[in-house]
Amino acid sequence: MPPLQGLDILKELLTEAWGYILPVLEFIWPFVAFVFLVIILRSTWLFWRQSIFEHTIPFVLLELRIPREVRKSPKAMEQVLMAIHSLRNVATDLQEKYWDGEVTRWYSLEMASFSGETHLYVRTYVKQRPLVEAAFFSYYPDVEIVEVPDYTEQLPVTVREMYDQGYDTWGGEMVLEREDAYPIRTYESFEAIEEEKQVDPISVFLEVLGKLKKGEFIGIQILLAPAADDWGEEWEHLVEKLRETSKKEKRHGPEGALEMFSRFIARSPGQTDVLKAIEQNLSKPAFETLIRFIYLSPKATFYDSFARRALKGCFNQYAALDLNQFGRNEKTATRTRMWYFPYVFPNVRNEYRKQRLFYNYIHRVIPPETFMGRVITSTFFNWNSHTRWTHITTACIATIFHPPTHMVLTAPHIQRVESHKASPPAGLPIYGDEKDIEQFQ
Amino acid sequence: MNPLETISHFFGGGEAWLTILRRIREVIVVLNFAIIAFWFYPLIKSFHHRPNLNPFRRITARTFTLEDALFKEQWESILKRFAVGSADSLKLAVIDADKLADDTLKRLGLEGDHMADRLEKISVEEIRTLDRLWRAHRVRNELVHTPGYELDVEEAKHILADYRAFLEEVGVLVPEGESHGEAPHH
Repeated sequence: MPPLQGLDILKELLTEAWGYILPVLEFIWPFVAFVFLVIILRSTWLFWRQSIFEHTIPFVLLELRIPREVRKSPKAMEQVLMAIHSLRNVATDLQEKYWDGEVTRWYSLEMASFSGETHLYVRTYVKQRPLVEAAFFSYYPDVEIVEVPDYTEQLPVTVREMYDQGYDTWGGEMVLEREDAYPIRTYESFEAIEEEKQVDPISVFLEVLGKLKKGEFIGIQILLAPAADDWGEEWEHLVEKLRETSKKEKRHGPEGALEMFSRFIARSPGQTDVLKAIEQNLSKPAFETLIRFIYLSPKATFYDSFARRALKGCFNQYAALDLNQFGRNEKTATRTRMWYFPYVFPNVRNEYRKQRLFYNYIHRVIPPETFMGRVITSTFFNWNSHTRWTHITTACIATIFHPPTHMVLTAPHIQRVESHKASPPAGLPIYGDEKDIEQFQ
Repeated sequence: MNPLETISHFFGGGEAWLTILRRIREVIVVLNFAIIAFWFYPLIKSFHHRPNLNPFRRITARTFTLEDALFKEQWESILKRFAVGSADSLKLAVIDADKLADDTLKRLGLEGDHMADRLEKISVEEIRTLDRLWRAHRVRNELVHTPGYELDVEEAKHILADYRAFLEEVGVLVPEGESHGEAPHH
C-alpha cells in the first residue's frame, strides 16, 4: 500500500523531529516562564501601587455658576483647557512609577440634571483648585465657582438599593467611532459673523437635560487626563496613508509617472478637507478622555430611549460623517441581549453592568493602565475589558462642554448668577501683612 | 547524542558553554518560584482595591464617614440645649433633633415634600426603629402646631432617645461606648 508507506515515513520523521524538539522545550521552559512571570508581577505590582495613588488623591467638586450673559465663544473654554492641560503630571523616575504608583491626575467636567435643573461641575485635585479657578476666571470673569458637596452621594450605591427605591437606570460610556486622529465637528463650524447664523450646540444638551421629570436624574461626566504632547505620533501613518491617493493599476513608463503625479496633486476637495482637519487636530494638545453617562428614573416614567437615543443624539450633533462621531461603547452600556456574544445569562450580566456603572460613575473611575488591573477588577459575570480612553483634543472637548453662551435660552433650566462683577477701583491700598488681609477673606 | 549537545556543537559551542547555560537555567528555575511566592503579596494587597460589584448585596446602613464629625457636633449641640432644661430649650432640642433625623432621611435618598412622606416610604423591616421615630415625630408636630404645649424633662429625654436610636441604626451616629473602625476605602 504505497500511500500508507508514505504516511509511515512522515510519522517516522515527525517522531524523530519530536525527539529533537522535546528536550529543547524542556530546557528552555524556565526562561519562557520567567519572562511571563516578570510581566505578570510587574503588572500586578503597578496596579497595586497605582490603586493606592488613585484612591488617595483628594478631590474637590466645584460648581460653575453661569452669569446671565456669556459673550465668550467656546474658544475661551479651549484656552481654559489648554491651561489645565499644562498642569499634567507624570511619573518620571523609578520611585515615582513603581513605589508611589503615580498616574496622571485626572479632571472631570460634569453636567448633571436633577429633575430638570441642570448644573455644571468641575472636579479637580484639591491642590490645583486655585490654578483651575484662575484658568476659568481669566477667560470667564463673571463665572462663579463654588465648592459643593458631591452630588453622587445621593445616588444609590447598589442595584438592589436602586430597585428598592423604585428606580431603574440606563447608562454607559461614549467613544469615538473612528481613529482618534479624526476630529469631531468643532465649535468653529458653528460660528458665524451674522447673528442669525450663530448657534451654540450645547443648547441641545441643556434642553434634553431640562426635559427631565420629577425625580429623574441624568449625569454626564467627561474624565480628562492630559495626554503627552507626542500623542499624535501614533497617527502619523494614517496621515501618510491619506496623503497617498488611491492606487489603481500602475502603468509603467513616462505616462505612468505622469498619471501618478497628477493623482498626487489632484486630490478631491473632500479629501483635502479631511486631511486638513486631521492635521489641525493632531497639532493640538489632547486629553485622554472618557465620557460616561447615567440616567436614573422612577420606574413609572422610565424610558430607556431617553438615554440611549436622545443623549447619543446630543453628542452626535458634532458628527461629521467624513471625520468622526461619538458612539456608545456597547460593551459598557447596560443593555445585554441573548443574541450577542456571549449569549448566556443576559439578565444577570446586565445587573452587573449596572453595578459597575454606578461604581464607576460615583468614583469617577479611570480605565486601569495594567493588564492585571483589568483582570483583578473583573468578576465572573462582568469582565472589565472594554472601558477605554480615547484621545480628544482641547478644541473638541471645549465644543462639548463650555459655559452656555448668550445664544442659549436656558432661563428655566439653569440657575444663573444675576449680578455683574467688576474689578475694585484702582488705587486702593494693597499693602499690609496677613492679618490685615484676613479680615477681608 | 543529546539534541542539546548537537545544537550546541552546531553553534560551535563546547561542553563548557552548555554547562554554564545549565547553571543559569537552575538559577532561573529558583527565581521563578521566588517570583511566584512574592507575586502573592501585591496580588492580595490589590484585592483591597477591587470594587464589590455584587449588584444584589444588601446595604443595611450607610456609613457617612465624612459626615460623622458633623452629625456628632450637631447632636452635641442638641444635648447642650437639653441640658439647659428650660421649656423653650427643651422644645428647641426636640425640633433640632427632628431636623437632624429628617436630613438623614433625605441623605438616604427618600423623596417627599414632608418628613411624613419620607417616613411612609420605609418599612419596619428596613429600619427597626421606625416606630419610635414616628412617635417622636408626632410629638414634635404637636409641639410645633399646638400653642402652649409644654414638655417636661423626662418626656424630652425619652423623645431624644428615640431620635438617637434611629440615627444610630442608620449609622450616622456611633453608638455610645463604641468607636468606628478604620474608614472603609472606596
